[in-house]
Amino acid sequence: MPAGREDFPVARVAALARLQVSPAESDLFQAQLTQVLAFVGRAADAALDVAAPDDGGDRAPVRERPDAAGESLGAEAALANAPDAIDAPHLVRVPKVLG
Amino acid sequence: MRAPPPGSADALRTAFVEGATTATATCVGALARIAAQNRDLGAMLAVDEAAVLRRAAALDGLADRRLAGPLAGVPVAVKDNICTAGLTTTAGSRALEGFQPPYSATAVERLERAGAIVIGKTNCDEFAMGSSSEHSAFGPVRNPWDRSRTPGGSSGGSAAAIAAGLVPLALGSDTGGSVRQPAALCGCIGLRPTYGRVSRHGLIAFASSLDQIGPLALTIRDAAAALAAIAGPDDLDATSAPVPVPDWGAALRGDIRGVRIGFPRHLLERGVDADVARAVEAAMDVFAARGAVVRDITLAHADLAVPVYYLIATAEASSNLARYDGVRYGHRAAGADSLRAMYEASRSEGFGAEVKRRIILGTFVLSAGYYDAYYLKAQAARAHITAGYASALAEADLIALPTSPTPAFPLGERVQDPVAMYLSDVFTVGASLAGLPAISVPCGFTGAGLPVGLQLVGRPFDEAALFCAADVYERETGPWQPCASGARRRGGA
Repeated sequence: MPAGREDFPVARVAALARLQVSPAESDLFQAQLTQVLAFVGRAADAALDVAAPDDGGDRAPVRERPDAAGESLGAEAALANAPDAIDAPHLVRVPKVLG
Repeated sequence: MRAPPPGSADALRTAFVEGATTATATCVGALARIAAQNRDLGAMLAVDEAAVLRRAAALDGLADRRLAGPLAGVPVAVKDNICTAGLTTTAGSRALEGFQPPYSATAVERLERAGAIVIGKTNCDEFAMGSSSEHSAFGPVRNPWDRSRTPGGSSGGSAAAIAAGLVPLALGSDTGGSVRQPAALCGCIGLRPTYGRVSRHGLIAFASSLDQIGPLALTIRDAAAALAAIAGPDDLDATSAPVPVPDWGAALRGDIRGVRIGFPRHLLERGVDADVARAVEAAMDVFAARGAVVRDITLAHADLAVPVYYLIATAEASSNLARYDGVRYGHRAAGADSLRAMYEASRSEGFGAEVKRRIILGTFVLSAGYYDAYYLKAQAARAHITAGYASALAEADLIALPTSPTPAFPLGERVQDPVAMYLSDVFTVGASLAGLPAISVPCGFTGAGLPVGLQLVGRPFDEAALFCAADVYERETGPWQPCASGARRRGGA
């Protein structure tokens, strides 16, 4: 059984995902995600070759386009939904990154 | 050719082209039905009446309506995770409340080019994560057949809009069954195209190796016309396949003689509602009576499909949803005194519980120490599942399954039990993982009067085989009608 199945580390993983969880949410998620992990862990427990078989599927080739500048959205449209935008020059304002 | 059922896209387009109606009259009717029913149904989130009527008037003013396209004058509802320029697109999330996309999805542009009119946006589980449409930040969708029950999800608003007769066509998105399962629970048609058949440009990403846009309708001809309008390669989506779009109308010939249908009966032995099993088995008799060769098959590793799906989809979701940081668009929390605090507060206020659960699970299975144990093994298991489908489709032209193991379930029944909710997708996630096309069609009713869905799965890019078989079944058991008509369909349980 992969490690971590029994005790889901909600607080540590939420921090990695840049999420805050309240104590009540943490308790609820702990119980639910422990149950979910036991369920999805069946896939990890299955005795299947990690070297995957050829699935036999017909795969269309990946489409590529020239590595060249094309039309873009434009700064005004790109900033139209920004919660805190500065019109000129076109910037978004965020809290201080450095103290 | 058969006369199209009244109210279908085909009938509306014909009436529009022949001058028997106007796009304005059609849209006024749709808007009136939405106004009358949506407060109770919760199917629609955004409707811009003025824009709809402007577009309809422009179509009415065309000198030659025959040139207006194959969906001319047809109102279409679009799931709220598909971008529509100038029309609010939230994906059912507070994180995107009020978001006005600067461009439309390719699928929407193509629908409009075909003459369709986007009537509005449909409610859905937040970021398409759910099987009941209860995980929307803007309230649940109710099933038109029984308003105490869910319509399924995540495209529940689109399915409810079709089932209630608000519109004849809708777009949804299907990651693990989000078009097919609500179609089944609402008694309409839902198609998941082959992965790569339809551009995802402008579809708000959930799990990029799985997401596909697909149509919902009440006639196979309408579903085929909608797919024809949106299918085909797109320079704006590198995963859209350079595969020609055939004439799917030609597949609707009503002949299924000699077509081999594989029926994995062994999967119905556990956890399937008895009425659902009976309806699907009765459908096999219909196909056999029309000359198809129905035989039992085994679908290898099918028991792993749901666990594998929820490992891979959550991993991809945790990556895709990292973009919601409150900087360039979407919700930003007030009062944060550092960038990291702003990210965390914005995301925590913006996302609902199910999205947080999935992001946390996905982050976990990708994290150091667990990646090999979970994510890598899930990818290997995915290849085994895909090989199982390929093997089955080497001896059969189509695979038939229930779409959902149960009919529509009561609102609130599974919302606090994620595993029970995830098992709603037990018959749909396999085709998603394998990238195969699959369709759900109405297949009778339970004893309690709830719709049942039959799912057909085909080979890559062989949507024609799905349409051909579904058309035969429709001829035999249709016409399939919205529940508002009070009509009960023939056939099935």
